[in-house]
Amino acid sequence: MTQKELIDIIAKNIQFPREEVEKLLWTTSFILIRELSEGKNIEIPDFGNFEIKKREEKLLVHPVTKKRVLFPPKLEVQFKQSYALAKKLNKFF
Amino acid sequence: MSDVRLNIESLVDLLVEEVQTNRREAEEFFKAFFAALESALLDGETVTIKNFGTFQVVRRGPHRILNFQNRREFIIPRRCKVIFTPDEILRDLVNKPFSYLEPVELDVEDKDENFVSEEPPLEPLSIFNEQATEIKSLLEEIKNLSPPSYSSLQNEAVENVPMKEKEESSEQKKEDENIPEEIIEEKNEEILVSYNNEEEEIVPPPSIINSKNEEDNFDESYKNENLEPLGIPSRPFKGNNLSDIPSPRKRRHFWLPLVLFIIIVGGVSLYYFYSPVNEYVNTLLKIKTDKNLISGENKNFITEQPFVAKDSLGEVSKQSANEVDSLQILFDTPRYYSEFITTEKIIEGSRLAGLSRRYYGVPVFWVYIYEANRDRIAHPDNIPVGTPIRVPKLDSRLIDTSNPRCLEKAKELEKLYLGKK
Repeated sequence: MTQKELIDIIAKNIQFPREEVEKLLWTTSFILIRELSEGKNIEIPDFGNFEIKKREEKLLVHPVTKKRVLFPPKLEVQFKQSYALAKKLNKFF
Repeated sequence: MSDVRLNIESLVDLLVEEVQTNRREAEEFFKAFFAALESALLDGETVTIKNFGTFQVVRRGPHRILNFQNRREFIIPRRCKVIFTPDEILRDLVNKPFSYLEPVELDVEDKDENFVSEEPPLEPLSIFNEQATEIKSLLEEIKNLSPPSYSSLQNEAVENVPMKEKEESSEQKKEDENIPEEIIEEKNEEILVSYNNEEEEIVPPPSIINSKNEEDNFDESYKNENLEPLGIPSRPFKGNNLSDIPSPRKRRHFWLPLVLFIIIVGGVSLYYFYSPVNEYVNTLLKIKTDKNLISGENKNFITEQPFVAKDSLGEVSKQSANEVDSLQILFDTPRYYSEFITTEKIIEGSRLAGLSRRYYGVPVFWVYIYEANRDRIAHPDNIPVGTPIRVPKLDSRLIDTSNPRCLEKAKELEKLYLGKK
């Protein structure tokens, strides 16, 4: 599903004008990105959590050349689906 | 990273701040947004949100998991999972605090450190060097006495090595982070402090490290000593190799004419002593001569060709393939009539077809007679009585009654001449 289709569906469901929904969606994504980049976790009930996790630095050895390479630590966004969503997804199996 | 968690309510607050709308509207939008996401994911679709990321449903089949404590297997049933892959923008923004760091190759820098920093303090640490030699001799004695204890010692040594590596890596990190320290915010400084603390905790008593380092240095110097004598003879060898490189080319040049000569000799011997090859080459040559005859305006070729054909009657069957091509060439080239069998006067009731039947065997070939007498006959159907008609001597291949192609060609010509009028 593309962003346009998503906007159409939302606009249909809550009977907002399309442009407003587009604006709202843009701002929400902006807010989400801003908050996540500040290192905050986001909880959305019945959907899932966005968490920032730190991956520790690691030392890897190339098996052939025997060169040791130090990879720096890294911050990553992880999404964990909520229990309710998982249940809904696996309902059909 | 931090433990700050944002609810949906606080998100709504932020949204209301950004876009001046009602709180109710914003809440509705949020609900609808996530409901739409959920329904799309439940349908198995992938949803992309610009600048944020893509949500995707991944199915996983049933798989086993072994619990190592109980030694029991669990089978996890197949299930679906929502996977979120962040967009590049989000990824970069989140990783901003560590964005200046890049993967580093360690071994290159390690050597530099060893050579620069650790060689000068060797002299005051000569005591430790002596100690190291003593320990070594002791170890050898122990090894001779009891192998198991030595193995345990070895294990210890092995365990110590990674410790050293860790130290090095942490030192490097320190260096890495010292460079951009001024640029980066306070957070990073905190991280730095933590790193320093860790180092202090990890650092083992100095005597062990030094002895270890000395051993390493000793090993390295030993290696270097070994390498140098090896390296000296390698230079002349290289020179020899360089000079050797063109020599195989020379040999090749020497062999090339020989190989060519052998091939030519073999070909010639095949031509003379192996009959199929000989015949094939002869046929090829014949085709060439035929072409030459046709291309040059040789009026005699019509007279010459039948003789050739008569001589080589035995080979006609073999040359059937070539004959087809030569026939086509015969058809295509304009015919010249220089020699004639006889001249006959047209009597009432006699026709060209009858003449052709008498002289060529088949009435269809009257077209050639007509061609030969074009200057005297206005139209083949209307010939005045008493006109002398020359019957031309034709190529035997052209009037081959057994060959359907000849007949077809004659019929084509017939149509052409009769249609003309």
